[in-house]
Amino acid sequence: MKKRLTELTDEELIKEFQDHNTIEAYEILVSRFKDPLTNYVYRFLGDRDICTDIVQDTMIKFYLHKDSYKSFAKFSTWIYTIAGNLARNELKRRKRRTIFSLNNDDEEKKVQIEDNSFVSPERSTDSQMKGEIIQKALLKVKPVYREVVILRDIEGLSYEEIAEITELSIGTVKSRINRGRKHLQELLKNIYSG
Amino acid sequence: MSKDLYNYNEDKYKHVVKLLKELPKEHAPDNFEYNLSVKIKNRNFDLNTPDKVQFLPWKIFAPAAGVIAASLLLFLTVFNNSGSIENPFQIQPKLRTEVGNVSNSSNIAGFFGKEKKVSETDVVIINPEESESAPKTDEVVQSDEELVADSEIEQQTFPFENYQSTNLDEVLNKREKSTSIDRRAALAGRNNSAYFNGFFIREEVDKKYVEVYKARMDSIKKVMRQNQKDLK
Repeated sequence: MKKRLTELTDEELIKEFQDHNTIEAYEILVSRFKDPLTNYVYRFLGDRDICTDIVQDTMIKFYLHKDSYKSFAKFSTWIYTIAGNLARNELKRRKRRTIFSLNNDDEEKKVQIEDNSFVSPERSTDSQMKGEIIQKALLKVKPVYREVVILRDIEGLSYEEIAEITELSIGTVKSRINRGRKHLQELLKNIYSG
Repeated sequence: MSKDLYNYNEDKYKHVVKLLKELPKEHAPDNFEYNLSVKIKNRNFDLNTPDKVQFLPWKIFAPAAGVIAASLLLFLTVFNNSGSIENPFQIQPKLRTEVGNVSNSSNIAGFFGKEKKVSETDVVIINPEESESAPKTDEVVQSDEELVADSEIEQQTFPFENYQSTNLDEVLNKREKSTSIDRRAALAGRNNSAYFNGFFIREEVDKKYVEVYKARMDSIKKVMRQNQKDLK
C-alpha cells in the first residue's frame, strides 16, 4: 500500500487523503514539500526558526483544510499559496512590531542576519559567503518582487504557477520578476563582476 | 513543476539568475515531521494567523473627543467674540456712492445751488449809529451771500461733485459776484482765522503814495531800459 502511495502524484495523494483520510498520503506530501517550502519561506523571510514554524503551520492548515483544495488546481500551487500567505502575514507582523515596539526585539536578529564581519571557520567557504551575500541582497528587494523572483529563479516554478500562487496576471508576474532581478543585479554587481 | 516556459529577459539577467539558482537549498530540520505529528495529535494549532483587530474604545473616542474639543474652541474664539470685536476682514467695504453722498452732504452740498443756511447770528450789520467812531467808508455789511461765499472759499477745496454734471459757467459767475472786498476779507480771515470775528475795516489808499510809488517804478524801469541798451 505504502509503496503504491509513493508512486502517486501530488494530486492523487491529496485525493486519497481527502477521500479516505489516509495519513500516509498526507505524510508523503509533507515529506515532498517540507524542503521546497522551507527554502522558499527562508529566502523570503531570512529567518530559519520562523520559517520552520511557518512551514509547520502550512502543513497543519493543509491537514485541517484539506477539503478546500479543488482538484482542478495543482497541489504545489495550492500549498505554495498557503505558505506564501503565512509568510506575508509574518512579514506584516514584523513590520508592525518594528514600528510599535519600543524594545524592538527583532533588532538583534536583524543585526545577526546582516552582520558579515564575522564568519565562522566551518562556514568560511566561498560559496557560503556568496550565499549569505545573496540572501542579504534578496532581503533588500521589495517583498512583492522578492516573492516572485524566489518562486521563479530559486524554486524554479513556471510563470503560470507563479501567477496562480500570487493571484496575479502573467504579465504582472513577468514585470515583477524583471524588476526584482534588476534590483538584485544592482545589489550583486560586485559578486558576478569579480 | 514545469520550468522555463518563457524566456523573458532571461539573458539580460543571466548572471543574477545563475547566482540565485546556485544558492544552497535550505532543508527542514530533522525533527520537522515529528514536531508536526505531535502538534496534530495534541491539537496544538497555534496557527500563525494575522493579529486579530481588537476593538479598543479609546482608538475611536480619543480622536472624536479631540475633534469636538477643537470645534468647541473654534466656536468660542471665533463666533462668541464676533459681536464685540469687529473682524477687519469681515467688514463690507463702503460703496462709492455712499462715500460720494457723505462728501456731498458735508462739504459740497451748498456749492451748487443748494444755499447754505445761515443763521441770523452769522449776519452782522454794522450801523453807523452803533459805531460812531468808525468812518462811513469803513462800514462793512456782510450779506448772506457774502458769508456763504466766504465759508465756501474756506471750506471748499474742490467744487465739483464726482457723480453729477457741473455747469462751470454758473459756478464761475457765482464766484465773480463776490467782490474783491469779500475775497480780501476771506483771505484776511483765513490767515488769522482764530481772531477774525467777521468785521473788517476797509482802508482807503492815499493817492499821493500811489503816485510816488508809480513815479519810482517808472524811473527804475527807465534806468533798466537804458542799461539794457548800453549793454547792447
